[in-house]
Amino acid sequence: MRSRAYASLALIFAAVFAFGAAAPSEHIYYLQVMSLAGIVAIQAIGLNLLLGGTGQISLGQVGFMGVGAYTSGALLKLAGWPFLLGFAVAVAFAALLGLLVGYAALRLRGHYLAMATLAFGGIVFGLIHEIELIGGPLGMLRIPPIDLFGWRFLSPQDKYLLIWAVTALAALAVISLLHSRVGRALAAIREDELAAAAMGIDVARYKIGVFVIAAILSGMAGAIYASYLGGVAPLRFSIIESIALLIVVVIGGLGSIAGSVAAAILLTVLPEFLRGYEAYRPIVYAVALVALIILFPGGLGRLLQFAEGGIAWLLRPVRHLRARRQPHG
Amino acid sequence: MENLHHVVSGITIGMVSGPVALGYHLIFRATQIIDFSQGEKVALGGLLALSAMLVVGDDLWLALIVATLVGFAIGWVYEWGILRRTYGREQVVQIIATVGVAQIFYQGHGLIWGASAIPFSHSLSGNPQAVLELGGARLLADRLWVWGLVILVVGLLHVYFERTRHGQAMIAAADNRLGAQLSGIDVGRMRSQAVAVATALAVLGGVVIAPFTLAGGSIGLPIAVKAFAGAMIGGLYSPLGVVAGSLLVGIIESLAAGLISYGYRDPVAFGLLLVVLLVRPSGLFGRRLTRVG
Repeated sequence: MRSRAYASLALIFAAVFAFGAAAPSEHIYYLQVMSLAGIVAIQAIGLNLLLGGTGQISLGQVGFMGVGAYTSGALLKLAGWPFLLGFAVAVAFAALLGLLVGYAALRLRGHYLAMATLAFGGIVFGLIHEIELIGGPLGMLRIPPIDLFGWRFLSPQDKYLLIWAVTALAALAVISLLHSRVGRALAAIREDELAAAAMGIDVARYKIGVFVIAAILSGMAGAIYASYLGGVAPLRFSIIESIALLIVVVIGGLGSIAGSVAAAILLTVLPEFLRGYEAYRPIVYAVALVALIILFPGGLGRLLQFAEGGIAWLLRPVRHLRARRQPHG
Repeated sequence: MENLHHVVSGITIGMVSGPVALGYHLIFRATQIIDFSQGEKVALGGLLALSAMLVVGDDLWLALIVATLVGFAIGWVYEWGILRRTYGREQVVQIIATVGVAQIFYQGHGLIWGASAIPFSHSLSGNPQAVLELGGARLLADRLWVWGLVILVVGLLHVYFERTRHGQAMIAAADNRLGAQLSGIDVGRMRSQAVAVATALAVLGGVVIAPFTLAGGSIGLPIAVKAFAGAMIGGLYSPLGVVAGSLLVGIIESLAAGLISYGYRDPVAFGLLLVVLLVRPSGLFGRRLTRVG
């Protein structure tokens, strides 16, 4: 299981980086589409840790991204801070809010937590929409680009590689977390909190911890997004976007990090090939969300396992023949 | 005087989210699920009324009845097709399913009626400008009609649940499933009915709010959160508390809009919900002290 989880992830990232390294300049458009897929993937990894790891839900996850994007954007643009400093403060702010929401999540479970996180996301959206200093409904333009120790990321290829490097690091970090002692503790909490506590697992610390990690990943995605595009607008951080992120995680499969990354790519790139049906995309996604969660909560990650099983089943007659032939031969 | 105006408009908002919040209460009591699609059913309400008037003519009262009946049918199908398949499963599955249904409603009415909200010029009193003078205060006649209608509906529901055999059967099915089954009550049917009535209530709320706002568009989400805030303040288990809670949220929201800025009314109402959830999860009028979760 463990090696397989790494294997499918390694395969996905190999393809992603090969595409980034090889993409000629006329494919700039697809580099950009895939860069945005990376931003989604970073967040999906965090939300999946929350949802698949401990069974806690967040319907306002993109709110943390909004906090990251607007904090970093404002510090870089209005205060003239260097990128890394703005990025660090933005992520710290998102983490602090994650700590608060995670603390609240200790008292609220299930439906109540879902509604509370929805309200959180709504508040963030409402505030960035109203505060004039950060552009109100129009958002902010001319946010300085990503700059690491004097190395400015300006070309689409550089930006693409940076975003996907961050995504790969996030995926690796979360997947090794899930396969460590911590991951087993999280699984114990998800299955039965009382039993986990009785075994000496500090339930509160872990539950808050995953909220903070998910908030950090979303905050990072937001800060990178703001400098990547060079601008932000409130609409990218609405509740609809949080639901879209949830759709990515459910289609990818609860608990499957590789599935989340694959789904982030699939759901961002697929619409580019279905341009004529653009109007129907949201409702198709919504129907897929309901159908999958009811009929097939394993998502893409489970599908990969089925595919392997299917191939083994198809090869069965061959093995059967071979087994029969052997005594004669 | 200015503040009084905000209170009056807040009462109207509260009166409209009252039935919506009552829907939360009904579904939660019958199925232990909080239905995230409740707000989008409100958005659907105004649109259904608009379409109904294409058939029945320019009569909002008739359209109201037609839309509410259609809402009842939609709720029944929704319970049978989707909600029923999530009973007894993890809460995450239930949440994602109803959130998904909210998206289906939202995107669906966007496809049918268009993504942006539609002006709604019809009026319950027949004249949207009609004003009543009450001791110096001026009151839109339409507001009074809404208040009266909602009080009537809530009263009828109360009588239905407290005084009729059928209503008592629904309460029995919700509060003690096994006991109700042993007494020969069809619990599955009662659940379908609860969801259907809740949907009809949300649609009704959507029809009566449309003359003050617009029909359709993205009004669903704010209403979903605010009505839920009202339901929580009232303590999810107490039907009259739920309606009272909605009134309170409506008034606070309108005061915030008037005293701070119109744009801050959603953040204020959402923040109110967070405070209630964290500080007093059993609500102001909650009879039972329930642990949340």
